[in-house]
Amino acid sequence: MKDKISMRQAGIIILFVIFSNKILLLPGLMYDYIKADALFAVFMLFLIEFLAVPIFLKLKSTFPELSLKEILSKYLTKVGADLIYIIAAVFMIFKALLTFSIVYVYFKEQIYQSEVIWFAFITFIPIVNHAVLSGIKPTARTMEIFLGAILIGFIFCLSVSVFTHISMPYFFVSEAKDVFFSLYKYAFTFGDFLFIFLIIDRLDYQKKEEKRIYFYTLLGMILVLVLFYLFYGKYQLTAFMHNNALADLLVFSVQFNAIGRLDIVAMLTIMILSLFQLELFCYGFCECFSGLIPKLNKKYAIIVFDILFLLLYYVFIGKYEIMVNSTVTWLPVLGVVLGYAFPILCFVITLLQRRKNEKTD
Amino acid sequence: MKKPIKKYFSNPILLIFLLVIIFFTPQALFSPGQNRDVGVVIGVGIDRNDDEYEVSLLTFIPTAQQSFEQMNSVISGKGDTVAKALYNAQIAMGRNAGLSHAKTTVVNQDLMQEDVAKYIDYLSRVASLSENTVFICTDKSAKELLQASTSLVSSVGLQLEQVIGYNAKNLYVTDTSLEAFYKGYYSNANSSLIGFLSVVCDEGECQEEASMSKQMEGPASSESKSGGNNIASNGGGQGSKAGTGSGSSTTNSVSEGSGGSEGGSGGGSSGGSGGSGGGSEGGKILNEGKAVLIKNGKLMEVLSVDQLNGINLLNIESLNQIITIEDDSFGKPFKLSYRIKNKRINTVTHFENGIPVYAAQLILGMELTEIEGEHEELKINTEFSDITPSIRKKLDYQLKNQFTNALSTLRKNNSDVIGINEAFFTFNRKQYLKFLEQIGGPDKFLNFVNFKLNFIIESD
Repeated sequence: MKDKISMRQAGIIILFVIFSNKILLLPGLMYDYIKADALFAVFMLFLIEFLAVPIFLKLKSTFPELSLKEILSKYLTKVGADLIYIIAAVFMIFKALLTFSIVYVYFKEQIYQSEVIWFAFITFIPIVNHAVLSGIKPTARTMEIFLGAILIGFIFCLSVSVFTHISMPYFFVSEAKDVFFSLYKYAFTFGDFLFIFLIIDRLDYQKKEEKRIYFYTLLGMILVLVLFYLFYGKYQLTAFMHNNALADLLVFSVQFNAIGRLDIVAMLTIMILSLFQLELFCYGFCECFSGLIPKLNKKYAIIVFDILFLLLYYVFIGKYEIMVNSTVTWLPVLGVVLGYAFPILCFVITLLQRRKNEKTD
Repeated sequence: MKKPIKKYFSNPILLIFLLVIIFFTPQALFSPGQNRDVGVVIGVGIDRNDDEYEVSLLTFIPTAQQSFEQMNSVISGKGDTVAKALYNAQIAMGRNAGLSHAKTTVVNQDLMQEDVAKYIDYLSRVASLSENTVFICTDKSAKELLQASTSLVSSVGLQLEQVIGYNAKNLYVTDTSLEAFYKGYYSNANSSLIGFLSVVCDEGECQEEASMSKQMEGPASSESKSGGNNIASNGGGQGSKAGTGSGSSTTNSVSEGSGGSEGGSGGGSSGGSGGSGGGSEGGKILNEGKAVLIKNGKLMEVLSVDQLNGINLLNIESLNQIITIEDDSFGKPFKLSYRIKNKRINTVTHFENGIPVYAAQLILGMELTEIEGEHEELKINTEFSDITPSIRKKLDYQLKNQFTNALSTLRKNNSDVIGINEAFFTFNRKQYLKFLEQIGGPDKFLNFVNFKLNFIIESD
């Protein structure tokens, strides 16, 4: 039971990773490409992601005590498992970089205009490292405590926008091939469900509580879809100009001018949420690292993460556009491998194991 | 004692926390307040004179006082680009311009002869000008309007965005923020509507001010053209006695006194290039309820209240409009004023023999508000508020006439600000897109639409 998380905590983790990189930049970015039809693309991407839930639960029930590395090694040999772990480590660190860079640019624009990047590093990295060192259980417990505040903040941002002028976005304006291509183009921003596979052995699985996982997954997806809808309904043709969807639902309305910086609610929500997401991505990277080099403990994994994070930050985020552009050029390959192909692989493994079990019986 | 210290130091997060405190607390304590570096800008104005731009910043300097008094002043900078002009204005202010609190953005009419979006774009994307800023056009100079607004605030506590906010709510019946401008700009019809305020001067006032300001900025202009930026800041000139004069006013003008003799043309006269400041509040803000019709970012026409009312007939939120007719149904000729108290609109868009038809049924609840004429013998009661067939016919004619006039203005300028393109796109998309192919785009679509309006006038 040590360092094992409950089904509810797993659900909350899924909820938090579902929010990652989708609530600030993505709605505007997708609108620029396929207009309000982005809503359909997001719906389809979520549908694919949602299918990973039963696969994950089946995998867990088939291999209740094994880690992902052990499961993969069993069927794909050690080399195959290592290869997947390397891809997952790259995926996780780039996810962390993307989350950090979007949030950094957002806060720099809004409040810390004269601050230097080190200020952001010092704010985030020690807390993230500490969370990873503490283990998944304390991190998940902290998330559980903050869940209410984050949901209230998120729903507040959504509900305030209802009081401004919202009209039905224009759908079916993009070509079908563009909508389907966006399933590939934005694949990197999705596929966050991978994280829960990486910590499969840390889950205190209870069959009767499976519904909790479904509940939080659905909740996260519905909230993101509502955000997309309200954002497009509010801004319509100018949605592409707005890079901070959740916060922009609060500002940019004459009705709320008198209240002043109402977007402080969005800022706090985004700040806490991003911190947790970074913790999860860092944890995911460290899991992969430990899986690849079991002899080195987590402290080394964290040091490697920090060094790589800083180095890559200066390679990519020094030019923010390059980072964002990478998410729609070559990084989607990672998204497709881990978001689409990996759950299918797990499904096949589950089937093979079940057949094996049946034969043994 | 040793034990707890050892315990604390064995926990790395506490050590890190301690380090952060050690490094950052002194820095935070000794760093100056942000208002020393950033000036709070509550209004931005952009003017163009010849090939030069002038960015004026209506700034608010927070000062510790027992009673709250907002001290505003207008500081400006010139340059051959908006970015350069803003840079010069910042030098004149001695602070960075914090534009995120700018609630009003004013551009002058000359600037709108070209696509205004390209000037505003720099401010909104790079200089953090918020898109919920109210966007206003003025006939003279944006700087004069901002200067006039300072006395408006100090004397009657009325902000510029409140003046235009009333118009937006009651006349334009649409949001006139920068965001709304962009929405129209990127729409199919590329058309938007923004507020319009004039600046009027008492005899000799503006000329005097202009000549004074020319004297101050004389060397500046030539230097800024050559790219110099040795600007002397001379802001902060609004005197406490500013704006207390008696205002001459027309019925629908927000006018301000020609106060500010002590506010004066503030600041030093050691003019460098580009910068000027202070508030010589000679001008008065005149609000006639006008609005500016914009197409592709360019000013097409300044619309009157009547034209706006005509445009807004199809807008369900537009109420309280007064329609005046002359009628002799009651024996003598009377001038009757009716107010649109409530409105219901049913619209249908369709294509008849390939022609787009916009049919609307407007059910107007009208209230008699004034009778002008000799009506001592008339009893003003419910009976009188009945609308006779003759009155109904006249109101119908008046309303249709008003709409036709407004429509012809929109057609003339190929500007659809009433959402006809959107309505057809939503409800008859296939036919609409096919029709656009025939006519070569959405620009002229409004000219081909057949409007069928049916007014049902009821007394309320």
